[in-house]
Amino acid sequence: MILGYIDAGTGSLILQTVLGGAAGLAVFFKTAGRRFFRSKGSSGAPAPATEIPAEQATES
Amino acid sequence: MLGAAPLGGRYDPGSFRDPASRVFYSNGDVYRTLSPAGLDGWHALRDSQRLTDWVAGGRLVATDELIQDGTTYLKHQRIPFWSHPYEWSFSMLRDAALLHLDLLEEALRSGLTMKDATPYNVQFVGSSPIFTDVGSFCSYEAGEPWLGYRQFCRQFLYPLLLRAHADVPFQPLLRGSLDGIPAATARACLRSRRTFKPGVLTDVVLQARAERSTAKRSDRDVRSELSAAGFNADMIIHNVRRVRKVLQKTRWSPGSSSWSDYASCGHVANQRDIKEAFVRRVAGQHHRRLVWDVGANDAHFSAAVADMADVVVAMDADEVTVDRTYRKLSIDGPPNVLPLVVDLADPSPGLGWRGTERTTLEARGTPDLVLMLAVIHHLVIGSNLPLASVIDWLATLGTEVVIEWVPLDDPMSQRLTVNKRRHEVHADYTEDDLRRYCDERFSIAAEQPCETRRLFHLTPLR
Repeated sequence: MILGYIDAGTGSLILQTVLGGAAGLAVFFKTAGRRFFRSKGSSGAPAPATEIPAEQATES
Repeated sequence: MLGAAPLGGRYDPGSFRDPASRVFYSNGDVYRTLSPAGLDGWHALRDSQRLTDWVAGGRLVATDELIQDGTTYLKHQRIPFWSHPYEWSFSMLRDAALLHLDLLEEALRSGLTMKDATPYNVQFVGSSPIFTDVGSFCSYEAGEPWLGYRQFCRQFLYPLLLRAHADVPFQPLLRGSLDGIPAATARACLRSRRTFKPGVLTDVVLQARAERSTAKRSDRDVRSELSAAGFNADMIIHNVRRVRKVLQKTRWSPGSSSWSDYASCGHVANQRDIKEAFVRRVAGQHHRRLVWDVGANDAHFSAAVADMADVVVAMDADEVTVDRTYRKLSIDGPPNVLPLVVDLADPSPGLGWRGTERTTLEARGTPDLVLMLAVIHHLVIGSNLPLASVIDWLATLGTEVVIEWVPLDDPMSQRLTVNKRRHEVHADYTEDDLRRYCDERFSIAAEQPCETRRLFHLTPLR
């Protein structure tokens, strides 16, 4: 990865896919799709168990 | 701040933001140090055909490699007079932007890219833009976006759009913030029907919205996401070409200003021959390295002395006039006249970190001749600068001066004082006072009447 010394800006980076022609749009939908399914996957997963203090865990 | 520079030199106080390379000066020459990453970038540029082509075409500073004690330095062509984007006219900033886009597209086609997109990387040699930051180039890596797109918008595109579509001068905005104009600010100035001007919807409205909506998600690693999704150089080239088309359609049509038709005024035309002969006689006494033409208007006298100087900086506060002069110089020359938007009553200060990142006008080179033709009344009467202070400032330059005395009863002076009690406010604005102030600091080497006015050649007291 190029060591950019300026902040390219999150919003500007995303916008570049929209402004990058048809192939850029494909990248936009691919990244948006991945994020969508990732968020779906995490929301559908069972809630993480409440962390049990180490002492209680060993006692039980 | 930056430690000692190599080769017994000193670092440029404005060259520190990119740690990959830093500019320094040694024995009057310009050099660049390189970090390991900077060295890789230089090798990528050097080994491509682009370096030779760009230098030959005058679009990139000539650069030689210097290896000393196993360390690689770059030695650059020296720019005759450094200027800042807030001293440029609309067409100058636009030409600099187009140069940047051209180089970026050609770089991408050769497997290179640019790390940033700031007009501070461009300078003007006369009226020709030239790219100066060799350290900006590096190898393009698959999946990387255009890292400088947002910076390009803030420092090139938005200033031009604001001037073209809202008639907002960009110089005070760029002088007020070295980072340029944020998308939200540009959006605030480009509303209603201006929304549909080229580039406004895509580069301003969408960008402002994108920045706002991602402001709370700045920890998101978008670069990795884009890379994984197959982002490539062709998409950057598509965007660069689109922005270039936007710039080509972005035009500023200012019409005329108070000063744009000054040269056609009757008194100006009548006095020009007398002034030109006097100025050429003074300038021609020996070759000049740097001449300042203050209040240059159409740069007529700058052009008149151009063959006697290395570089002439033609300064005027009126952007309309400077823009017209720049376009004329770009076509007809002379090639060593640099037009700049400068108000001497409010000149460029030191800006940025420690106030030294962008230097003052005077710190960029002391002239060996200053032309002050038909400008003293604007400084003293128009801007209320004390006459003694103006002469004192000229003396601090330690240089020769040609000054045109414009008396209080001159029609042009009267225009400036029509709403003032001039004889009370400017009681010391007389030719006797001028002579007294000059005698304390200069020798009057020559003088000549010019209708109701008078020309003086001042030489500094040694």
